Amino acid sequence: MLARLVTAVTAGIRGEVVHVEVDVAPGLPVCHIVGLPDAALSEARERVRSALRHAGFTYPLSRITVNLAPAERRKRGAAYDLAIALGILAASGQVRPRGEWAVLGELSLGGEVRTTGGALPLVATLAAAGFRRVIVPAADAWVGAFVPGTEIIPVARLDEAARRIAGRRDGRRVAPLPPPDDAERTQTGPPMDGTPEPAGVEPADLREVAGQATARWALEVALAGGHHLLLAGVPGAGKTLLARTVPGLLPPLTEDEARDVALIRSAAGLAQQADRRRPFRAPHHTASYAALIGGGPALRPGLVTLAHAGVLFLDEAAEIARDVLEALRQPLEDGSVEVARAHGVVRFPARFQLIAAMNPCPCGWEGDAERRCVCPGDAPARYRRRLGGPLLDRIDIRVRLERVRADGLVGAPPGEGSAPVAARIALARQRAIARNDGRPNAALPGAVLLAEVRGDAAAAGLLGAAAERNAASARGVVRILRIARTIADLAGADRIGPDAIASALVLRSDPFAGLEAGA
Amino acid sequence: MSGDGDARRAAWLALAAVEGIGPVAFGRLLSAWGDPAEILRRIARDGPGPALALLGHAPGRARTHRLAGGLAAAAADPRRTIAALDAVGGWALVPGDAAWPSALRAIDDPPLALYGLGRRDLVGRGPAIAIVGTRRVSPAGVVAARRLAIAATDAGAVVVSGLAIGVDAVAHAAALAAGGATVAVVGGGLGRAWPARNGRLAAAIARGAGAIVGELPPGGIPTIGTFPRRNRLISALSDGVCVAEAPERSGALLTARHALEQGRALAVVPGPPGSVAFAGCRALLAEAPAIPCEDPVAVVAALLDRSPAARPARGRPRAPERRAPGGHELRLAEALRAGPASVDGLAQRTGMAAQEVAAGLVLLQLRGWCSPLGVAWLPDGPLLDGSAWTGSVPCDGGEPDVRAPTR
Repeated sequence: MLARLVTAVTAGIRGEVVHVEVDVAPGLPVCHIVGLPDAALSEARERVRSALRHAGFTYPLSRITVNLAPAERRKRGAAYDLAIALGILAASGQVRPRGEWAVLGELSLGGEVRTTGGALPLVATLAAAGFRRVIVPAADAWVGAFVPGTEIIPVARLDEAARRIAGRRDGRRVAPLPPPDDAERTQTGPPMDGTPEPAGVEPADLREVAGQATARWALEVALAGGHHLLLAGVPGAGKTLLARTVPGLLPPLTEDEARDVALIRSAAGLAQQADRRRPFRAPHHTASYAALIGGGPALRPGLVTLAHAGVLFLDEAAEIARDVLEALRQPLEDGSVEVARAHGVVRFPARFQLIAAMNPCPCGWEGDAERRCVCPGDAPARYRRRLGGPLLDRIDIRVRLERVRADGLVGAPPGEGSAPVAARIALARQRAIARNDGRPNAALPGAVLLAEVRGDAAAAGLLGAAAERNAASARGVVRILRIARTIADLAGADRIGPDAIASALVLRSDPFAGLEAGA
Repeated sequence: MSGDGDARRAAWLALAAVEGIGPVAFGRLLSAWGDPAEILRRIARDGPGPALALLGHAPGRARTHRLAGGLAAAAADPRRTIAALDAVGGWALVPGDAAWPSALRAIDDPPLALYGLGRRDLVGRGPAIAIVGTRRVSPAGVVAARRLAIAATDAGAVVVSGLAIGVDAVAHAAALAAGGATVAVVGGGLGRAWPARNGRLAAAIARGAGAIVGELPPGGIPTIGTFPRRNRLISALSDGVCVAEAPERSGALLTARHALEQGRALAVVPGPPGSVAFAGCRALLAEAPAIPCEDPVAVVAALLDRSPAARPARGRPRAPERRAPGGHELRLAEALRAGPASVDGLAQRTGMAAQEVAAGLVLLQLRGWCSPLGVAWLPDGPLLDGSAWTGSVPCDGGEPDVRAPTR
């Protein structure tokens, strides 16, 4: 007798549908699994045999053949256990399934159904493939909130799953995720395999940042408009501290963004977060290509994808390997990243805001008032070129920090805390997004901005004079206007005025401006 | 010049241009055989052997071999140096020429010849102020060098420096931008004597109101000793030397030493208190008889041994008229006059917000009153002028002295 079930496996942050066919036929009692299984999958027959017995079923003493289709794709892991077990039950006549079933889950020897991680993309794939009901491990019940219209049937044990497919009880709908302001924080996701939160930081409050009026202002503008930001400065200037204030300044994720983030976290095997905090990832500069961009044997999303809808903070950006920096260009340009594999290309979403920090030179002290730079010759210039023109060009706002002198701190009034700044940022973002059809200012097309300025003679004249003076490209002018638009939004102004353009010019200027030929 | 004198001059230059012939060797040959033309004639007739023997060179060594080749080539074509100078459009001076700077007669170690491009009349004639300093110039050093160059120009002095990157280049460029004259004393042979980054500046000096001079012939290859050695010429060709910025162990300190040995007056910019970029300056002020440079106009007058003169009217190019600077801009301009500062620093000086400072700086920059350098903004244009570091800013209502930006 032949039974057919459907399951799915992870490929990128999307799943792939796999058909599980089980045939139980007279013959010597053996179990063959065909369709390129790996070692963990080949061991499924041992788990399934034990689980069936402990769930009160009989393991048929017949010739069992399990086929996993598509046959040419290599299969890995234990995600097929439940489908194989249910297939054996159906093929041996112990259970009569009603209709077509999609099934996810790994089995324990005792018959419990375990999560295999990455449930959300798998369920989403099955839903997209037309399956209206999916059996999932009880620990993955939360995915129901993200796939409206699909019946999610959480099961804790194999016998429970068997009853369900025989139609003995209807699956129940799972309550959707609580809204982010819900005081009672519900555990909505499983702790999974204990994957630690990668590349996080200890958040800081802006109150802790001494001085640095320009850098604070630049950060506020960058976060309000979604502009990529470069912080350049000597060690101890406060670049990293400033970046650590970012999580506390970002507005919460929108509903659509929260869904994307949940999908990505699930694919990465991370616990779901209870609130709508924006992702903030701060990989170390020695992070590998696979860690940052994505890939590896399991084809996990990289940190650029985990930073989707949030901020990617690259400290010591000039120290990052060249191939990694090169690979950052694509996500900065189109908001996604491609990981090429032997079997084709996987595309991960990666629409993040970049905040990069770097020293001005290899020794770090170029331009400092009190310590001398010991870099030879043109080493500082070469160091700065490591970031690369194309990458640097995509970073709208560049600002140079200097060390705050100790004597300047004494008696200086304490800086503004994070809360009022976060409020201004949220307000400016709302304003921009309402006006721009959901886009942040950093993504505005040039034509819209130029049309806005054309009417204002003073603003247009200033822009023209500045462009001529700095020999700014057309692209540079558009970037200046985007920054100016955000400055106007922060000020609550409807139009981009000359003052906004003038101050945008400073934020866009070269942080390493040197003496030109002819001094 | 007589035909005989002309031949003697050509022979002098040909011989002086031979690699391996320095002042000592040259002097020995002269005292033995009397005349450069005669030296070359003897070498042409007898081969370089007797000359080499006279100079004490052991046969068979590579250096001896190279020197022999050089002497033979000079003897075969005594006009070769003159031809090479003509090819680059340069000129040469030798001791005995009427235009030979008298200052060079007074120094211990005069060059055998001076090769130059541009205006020969600027070299060693009239008042001259040397402005030297580090290649790694800080914003404060740039402003000090520019202010000194403008003050020297206003006093009618030629600005002398070494055409290196950093302070040297700033001083040359500021003198030219202020409508003054400048002399660059280089360590290499003409045509390859300056860093590539200063190529445009070198061209502007050679073609405009300036001269580039050096003691190596055209194409002469600088060696490790030539750059420190040219420093003695920078001080020798000036009435006084200003060190605009020097950290510890700066080459500019060597120039300062030469200046003191040659009896030139020395002025040193002390820089902002505690700045490592000026550590050499402070050491110099502590150890040497140097004038601390606080007011560039007064310092230039002191170096030229005169009382400060009234500022002469200068015909500088005017920037296109813009609207008069607003209150914010004037406040910023006043703050910039006190010296270069970052946006943060200016916000502190003026009490304005960083954003207001940024917007104001851009407007001042378009006016030519300031320019960015790294994290700092430098005063420029009229904010560099004046006899004092502070004072009222000329605006469109007052003296129309808004210059085009210097770069």
